[in-house]
Amino acid sequence: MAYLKLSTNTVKKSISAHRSIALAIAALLYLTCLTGTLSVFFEEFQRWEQPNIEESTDYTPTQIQTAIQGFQQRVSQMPETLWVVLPTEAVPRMHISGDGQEWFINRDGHLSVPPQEPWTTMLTKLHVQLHLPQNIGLILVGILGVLLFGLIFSGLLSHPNIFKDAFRWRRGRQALTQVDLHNRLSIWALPFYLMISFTGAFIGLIGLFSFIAGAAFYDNDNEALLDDIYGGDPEISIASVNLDIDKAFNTLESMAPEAKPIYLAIQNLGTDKQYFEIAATLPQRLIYSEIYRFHGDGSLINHQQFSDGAVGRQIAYSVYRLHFGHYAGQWVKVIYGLLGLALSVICVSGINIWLAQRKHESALNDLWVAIVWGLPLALAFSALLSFYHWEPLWVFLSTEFIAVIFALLMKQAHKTRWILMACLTVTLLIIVFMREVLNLNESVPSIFHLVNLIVLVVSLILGTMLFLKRKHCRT
Amino acid sequence: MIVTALIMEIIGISLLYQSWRKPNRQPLANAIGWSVIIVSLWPWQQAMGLEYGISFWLMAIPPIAWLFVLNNSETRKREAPSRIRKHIFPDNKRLTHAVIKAVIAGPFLLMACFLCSSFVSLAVQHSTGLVKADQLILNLSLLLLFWPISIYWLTAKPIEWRSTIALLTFTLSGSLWLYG
Repeated sequence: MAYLKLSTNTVKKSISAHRSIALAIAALLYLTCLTGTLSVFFEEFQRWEQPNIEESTDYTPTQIQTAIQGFQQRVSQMPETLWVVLPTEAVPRMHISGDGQEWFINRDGHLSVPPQEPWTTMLTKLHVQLHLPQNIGLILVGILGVLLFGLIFSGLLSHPNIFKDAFRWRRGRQALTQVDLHNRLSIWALPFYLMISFTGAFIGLIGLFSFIAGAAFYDNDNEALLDDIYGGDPEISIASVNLDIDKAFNTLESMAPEAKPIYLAIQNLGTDKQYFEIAATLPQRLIYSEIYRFHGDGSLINHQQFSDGAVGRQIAYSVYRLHFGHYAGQWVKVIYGLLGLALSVICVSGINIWLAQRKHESALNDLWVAIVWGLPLALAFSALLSFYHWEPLWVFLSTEFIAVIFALLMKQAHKTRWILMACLTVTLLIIVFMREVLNLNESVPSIFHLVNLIVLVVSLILGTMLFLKRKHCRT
Repeated sequence: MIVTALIMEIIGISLLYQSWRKPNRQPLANAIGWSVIIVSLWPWQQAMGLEYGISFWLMAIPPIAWLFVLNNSETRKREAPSRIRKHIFPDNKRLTHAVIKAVIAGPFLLMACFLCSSFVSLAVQHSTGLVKADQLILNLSLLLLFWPISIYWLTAKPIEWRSTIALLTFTLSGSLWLYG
């Protein structure tokens, strides 16, 4: 294998930088990685949380028209943009939303119940913006992406033997195991981690960038800058009172037969300026979608050129699917889940190495255990209580707070870890039991049982780990 | 095609592994191993298109390599010695240094990197005639590259006042020129 030739001084400085950055952001980075890993499966969690919804991958323009009429009857004021999310293989459910109001659509086009996915919403919001005000949260998570990139860079320069030791794994001695785990997981999935940090930073910081660059080059007109990147609104030359969705679908079918529509956005409904957009995915493309725009009468205006426009525009619209792992089917999600979990383990093992290298133990050891095992416990516990209409965010925060206090009072990191793991295992088992019992006589999709099965397998793995580590608890 | 691509990647990593296990370096085996891995991109992109092909090509490597790592695990059992517990109080001097570095690494380095990435992207635009969307995305991409590297540069060494003042002067004067 190849060797990195670095001076001792460079290596020392790189280790120092790697350590400083890691210690500063470890907890937040771990939280972001863990919630990010789970968020890859947010569509499955949504279906698991609310399993009793009519599912079908088929839809008709008449169904959409009926749903729009139903929406108009239910709201006092029409939103500027009305969204009709179409069913896909991943989420075979159709819903309509605007101005924060949302309902599922039945097969006959009539509106059903509103989405009730409080835990999944809490989870994704925790990953995207840490439940802070949107702009601040997004920027903070974007900065975490930048710092992760910095950690990867400094990590590479801190380990001149990282290629030389590419296949080494020494088990048994705690510190060495952690070092090897950290380095082996890091090096082989390096391109994935670079991609995740770059796309995460891109998504988080595009707003901040538009603010800084807009002030410098666009006379504070951020909209103009974003229009240059993503394309602006179209000129409406034909005023039409009706919405001919059928004609638009036919036009789309003839011009791009391989395009798969994923949502409709109806702009300025019922006004002279009304038009609508059909977003559609294209095969073998990472762009989130191409957007085809139509007059109200169903005649084509243009498409937004995400698939064939400037390279910059294509890149800007490709980062989302690349970051979420939502392309090319379910297997990509599984691989993203594994690699995301590996990144979370790298965060944990990095701090474990630092803690093991110290000559003493302190409250930091307890605090770190409370974070590492308290966070998944808090996520699991908030999921469990959300089924009984408890607010998941408060349950999450309270559980983590209790875990921290408990760890600080226990002053025995090994024992605390064992107890928190046991609590997590039991909580996961209860979740599976309650979900299956509560929906025993209901007709639920197979994904509901699959998620329960995976949760059960995770709890059994944790149970086995607990059994193997029982000696630690006793001592 | 996907099976071919996977087999090629397994062969490539296997060659690297075999070379790694031998006591002496095997430059030829390493070169062949890496070449096979690189060539496996071709069947991936034939089967799935260029964009999906590249991503699958990169994502397939870690699980295969980790299997070899698992295969190579060695156990050296020894209990870690128990350590004493200590109350550690934060060192005020180190904390102050950390805060100063965080301030420099945050807004100041961000602005310095934005100035550099804007300059480079505008220069490229003038010389090659990039469209506006490409220039802006190049600017943002360079910013996301320069910023973490400069944070590494800043945290890798103790604060040097001369270079810090030079950085602050560059950032402030550049920002004044841009926004003033």
